[in-house]
Amino acid sequence: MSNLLRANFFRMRRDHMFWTCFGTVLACSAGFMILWCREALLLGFEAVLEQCYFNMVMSLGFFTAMFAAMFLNAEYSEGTIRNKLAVGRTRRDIYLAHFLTVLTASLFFVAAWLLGGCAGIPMIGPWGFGLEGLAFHVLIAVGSTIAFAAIFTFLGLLLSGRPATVIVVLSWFALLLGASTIENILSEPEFSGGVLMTMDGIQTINQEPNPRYVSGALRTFYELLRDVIPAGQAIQVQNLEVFHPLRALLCDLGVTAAFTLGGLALFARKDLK
Amino acid sequence: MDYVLKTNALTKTYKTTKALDRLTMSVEKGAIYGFVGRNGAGKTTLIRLICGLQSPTEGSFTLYGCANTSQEIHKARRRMGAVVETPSIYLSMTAEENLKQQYQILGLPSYDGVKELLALVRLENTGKKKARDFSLGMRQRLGIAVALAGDPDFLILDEPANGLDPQGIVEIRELILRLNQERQITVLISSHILDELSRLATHYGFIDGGRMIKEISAAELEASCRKCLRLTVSDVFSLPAALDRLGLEYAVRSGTEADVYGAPSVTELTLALHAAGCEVKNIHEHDESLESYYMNLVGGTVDE
Repeated sequence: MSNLLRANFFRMRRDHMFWTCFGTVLACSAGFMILWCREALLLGFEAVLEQCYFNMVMSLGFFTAMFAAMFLNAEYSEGTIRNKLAVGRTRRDIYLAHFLTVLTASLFFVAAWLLGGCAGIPMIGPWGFGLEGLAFHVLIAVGSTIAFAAIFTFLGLLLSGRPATVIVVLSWFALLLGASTIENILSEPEFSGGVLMTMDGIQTINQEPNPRYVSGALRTFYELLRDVIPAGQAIQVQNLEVFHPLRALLCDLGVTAAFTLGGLALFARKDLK
Repeated sequence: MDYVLKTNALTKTYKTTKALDRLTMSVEKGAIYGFVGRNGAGKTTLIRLICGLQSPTEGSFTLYGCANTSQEIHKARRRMGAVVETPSIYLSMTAEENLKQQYQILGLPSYDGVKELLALVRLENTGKKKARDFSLGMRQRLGIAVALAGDPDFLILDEPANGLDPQGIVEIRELILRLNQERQITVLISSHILDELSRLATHYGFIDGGRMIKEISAAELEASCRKCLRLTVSDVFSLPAALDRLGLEYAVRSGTEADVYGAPSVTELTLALHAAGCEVKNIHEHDESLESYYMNLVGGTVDE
C-alpha cells in the first residue's frame, strides 16, 4: 500500500484543487481573524483569540469534501483506477491509500486554518484558555475531520461518474444542515418567559414550559446524534461548547471505522469499468 | 505449449444480460491474439474480468497458471499491462509525470526507463504539455506507455485503433509489432477493425453474443480461406460450358463477373473462354478476407 500512497501524494502535490483549498483556508482563516481583531481593537471590547479562532472549523469539512470529490472522481473519469488494478494492486490497498490521502489533505487544511488564525496573535495576544484549551478543541476538530474524510472517501469511491462529485459536496451540506437543526432543537430553553422589556420598563412574567423543548430519551438521542455527526462536533467546537469530549472522540472513531470497513466491503464487490 | 491466459467457461451476467456466455479461450505465449467481435459481443467484458475490474459470475481463468480465485493472481497481474477502452491517464499531468506516477504505483526504485519509454512511443518531445492537450493518438500511445511501465510480458489492448487517424493507426500497429518482436511481449488485442487486425495477429478468437465461435491461428486461417481468380468477362452465359469442360469449380457473381476456384492455368483458362466466344476483360487473384471469414462465422453479409 505504501507504493499507492506515495503515488497518491505525488499526484496530490500536483493537484490544483488541493492547493486551491489549502490556500483558501489559509487566506480565509488569516483574513477573517485580522478583520475581527481590527474591529475588536477599534470598538475597544475585550477580545480573546478563541472567540474568532474556531469560526473556520465548520468549513473544513467543505474543503475536505471538495478535494475528495475531485481527487477520487479523477480515478473514474480518467480511468486511472484501472492502471492500479490491472497491475495487481488489491482493492483493499487502493481504498485505504485513498482514505489516507484524503485524510492527509484534510489535515493540511486543519494546519492551514491553525496557521492562518495565528495572524491575530500580534494584534490581541494568544488564546485566553491557554495551550491546553487550544489542544482540547483542536483535538475534537481533528477528530471530526478524520470522520469527514472517512465519509467522503466512502462516497467518492463507491459512487462513480460526474454526479458523484456533486453528491459528495452535497453530503457535507446535508450533514451541516442536520447538525444545525439538531443544535437548534437542543438550544431551545426549557422555559419561556422570565423578563420582558416594555415601555414601562422591565417586567417580570411567569415562566412557562417551552413546548419546543426536548427532554428525556429523545434529548439524549439528539445529544448523541450531535456527537455522531462530524458537523455537529464542528459546531460545538465553533461555539466553544464541547459537551461530551470523550464521547465525541469515540463517535469519530466509530464513524471512521464504520464507513471505512463498510467502504472496503462494498468496494471489493463493486464492478468497475 | 505455454499459455499466458486460459479461460474456462467464463460467464458474466449483468442483471438479466449475459455479456459472456461460457467463454473458453487460450492465449499462447508470444502470440498477438486478435480478439474479434462486433460491438457488444463481450470483448471489453472479458478484458475487464482479466484486469480484475469485475468478477466473473461463473467459470474461471488462469493468468500465467494462477487461478483468478487465488491470492497469487495479484502477483500474476504484475506481469501484465493493459489499456482498457480509453487510455487511462491523468489529463492534468504531462506524459513524463504520468509515467512517473505509474512507476510509483508499481513501486519501481527509480525513474530509469521513463525517457526510453517516452521515446518508444514517440512522446519524448512533449515537454510540459499536459495530456489534456494531446491528440487522441498521443493519448493512446501514452496509455500504452503507462501499460508498459512495469516491463510486462503480457499486454492487453482494447480497441487501440478506435478514433485514430490513418497515421495514428499505422503508428500503433508498428509499435505493437515492435513490442512483440523485439521484447517478446504477448499481446491480446481486441478490435472490430478487421483489416487492421489481419496485419498484426498471429492468432484469432472470434466472439459473438458472449460466446467463442472459433479460435484459429493466422496460418490456419490463411489455409482455410479460399483463393480464387475473379474474372470480368463480356458475357457469362458462354462461361459455364467452357469451365465445365476444364472441370473447374466456379461461382457466377453477376452478368459480367465470376469466381473460379482452384489453381487453373491462366493461359489455358483464357484460351478456353476465347474458344467459347467469351472475351476476358479483367482477371485478378482474390483472397477471402478476414472480414468475410468472420461474417461467414457469425452469419452476416459483406458489402463489397
